This record gives sequence, C-alpha cells and structure tokens, in this order.
Amino acid sequence: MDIIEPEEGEILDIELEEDFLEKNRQLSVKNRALLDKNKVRAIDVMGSIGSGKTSLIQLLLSILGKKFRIAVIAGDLTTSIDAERLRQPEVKIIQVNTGKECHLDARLIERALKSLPLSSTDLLFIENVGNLICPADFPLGTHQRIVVISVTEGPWMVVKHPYIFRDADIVVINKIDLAEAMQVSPEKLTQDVSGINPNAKVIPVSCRYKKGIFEVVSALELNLSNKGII
Amino acid sequence: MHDFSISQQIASKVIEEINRERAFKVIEIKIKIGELTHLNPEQIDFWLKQFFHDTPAEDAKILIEKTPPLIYCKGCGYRGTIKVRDDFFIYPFIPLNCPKCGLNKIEIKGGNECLLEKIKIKR
Repeated sequence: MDIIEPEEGEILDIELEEDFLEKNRQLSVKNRALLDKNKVRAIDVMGSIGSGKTSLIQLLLSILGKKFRIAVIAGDLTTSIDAERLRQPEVKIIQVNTGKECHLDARLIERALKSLPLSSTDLLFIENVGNLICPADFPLGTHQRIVVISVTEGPWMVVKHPYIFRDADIVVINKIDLAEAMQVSPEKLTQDVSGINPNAKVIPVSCRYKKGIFEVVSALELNLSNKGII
Repeated sequence: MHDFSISQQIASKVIEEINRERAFKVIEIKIKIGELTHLNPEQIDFWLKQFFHDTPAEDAKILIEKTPPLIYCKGCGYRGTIKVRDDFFIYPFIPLNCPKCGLNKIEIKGGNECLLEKIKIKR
C-alpha cells in the first residue's frame, strides 16, 4: 500500500468538532438510561452554599426512608461532613469529592452509580456542590432537579442566577422563619422564579421548624409502590 | 467558574492531536463558545496559554467565537436567535422569552456548546 506522507513544513487543517459540554450531556443520557433500567428515581439537589441542601435531604430521608430504599450521592470539594450528617443505617451514602471542581458532572455520577446497589434502590438523591452557577451547565441524568435557596441569601438570588432556575422542577425557598428578620419576601422570590420558569413548583420551607417538607414530598410525585415510582 | 477544567480538557485534546499528527507547531486553534454557557472566552484564552507553555502550541493563535443562543418557541413556532444583554455586572442576562410572541415556552437548540472546532498545524 502506498502511503502518501506530508512533506516537511506542510500546513494541515484538522477538523475536530469536539464539544466538551456535549460530552457531559451524552453521558447524562447514559446515566438516565441506567437509572431507568433499574427503576431508580434520581433527584439532583442543587443550591447555594449554606442554603440547606443537606438539611432538606436529611428531612426527606426521615420521611421517605420507611417507604423507599434510598441512596445518596453527596458531592463536595474535599470533606465528607455532609455525608456524615446524612448517615443512617438504612441509607447507602457515597461521597464524591470533586477536588477543585465547582460542580458534579455526569462522569463522576457514572462512577458513583457503579458502586451503588441500583437494583435494590428506589430513590437516589444527589447533593450537588454548593453553587448556583456551574451545575446549570452539567446535567447529571436525574429525573428531577431541585434548587434550594434561602432568604438569608438576600432578595436577588433568583434574578442573578436565572440559568439554574430555568431547568428546575422544584424550587425550595428555605429559612422562611427568618424572612421577616431578613426583610426578604418569599412571595417576591416566588414571582422571580415564575418569571424565569413558570413550570417550576416553588415551595416555602423551614427546615429548622420542619415546615413545608410534606409539600416538597408531594411535589416529588412519588408513587408509593416499590419500584413503581418512575 | 469551570473555565480551568474545560480549558484543561481542550488543551489535552490539542496536545493529543499534536502527538498523533507529529506536528512541529500549532498555528491556529478555533473554538466556539455558546453564550448560554457559563464560560468566559477571556479566561479560556488565559488558561489555554498557560497549558500550552513550552509545547508546540505555545504560539498558536487562539480564536474564540461566541455563538448566540438558538431557540425554538413551542408557543408560536419561532426558530432563531435571541439577543443577549451584556450590560449585567457578572453574567450576561439571557431573556428566556420568545422575541416574537413573548411567551417563555422556549426550547434551547444551540448556544450551549464549548466546541473545539479545528486546529491548523505545521509539520
């Protein structure tokens, strides 16, 4: 076979057409297929630092833990503080440390799913890294996305970060017990979300006083029969 | 925010091509970044230059084109681009309503990519 080698000094155009964000989207589709195959309902819990993502998951575990076999993937930069907080005998928890990365991505979730007993799991909560910006670019393959914000973050949290609310199914406004002291109106925050994404269910919650948690549970639209929740 | 890691991935891909093609020098690198991403072309440019230090891509011209959002409106059927307001302090604010009918039943069809389109090399 004749091989025509380029001459020294030849200039070549190489078409690569490689989309680095599309790679994540493709992987997220794969993750979703794996979850569906095993009839696992997966929920991505995103939100700012200190908004109450872990507290919300803790409360959801205490309500749903009796009815469903639950697993949690807890994403964080370095520590396992959140995973420790969520530790319960019947809940399988995996800590994913992203190192310097500001979000979880579909590749990390793909790896985490490999070490979960998917066939004996009904419900999977994925606690994303505390951040309202980056997770918006990286779908993980979950069925639902919850964004948790809180009144202590001030009145502009929603309008300043429209992207993350665009794809949210449920938006939890936490710490409403502090709304008055903060002079932040949960109604205004609700309007801000509706302006960006009219399909999102917005739920005022106080994790500390366990208010609004059942509304979150019903917004998840979980069917009670085992393995029939999708 | 994730400009660093995305740049790292782009740089690895370019270096991989340099080795595969036995390139002596990279002349040009063309990248497209969607305006709907949280990626900042200036930061990508900065990080790529750091990663290419002491490699055949060191002097490459890095061309980054911003691509506008492409939408499809489920309300009126409009298919096309929408304008991005760039006057917000931190991130450009993308209106999430259809420019034609005003409804916010839009589907994003483009403008969310980070594409390493092509490279020009010298052997």
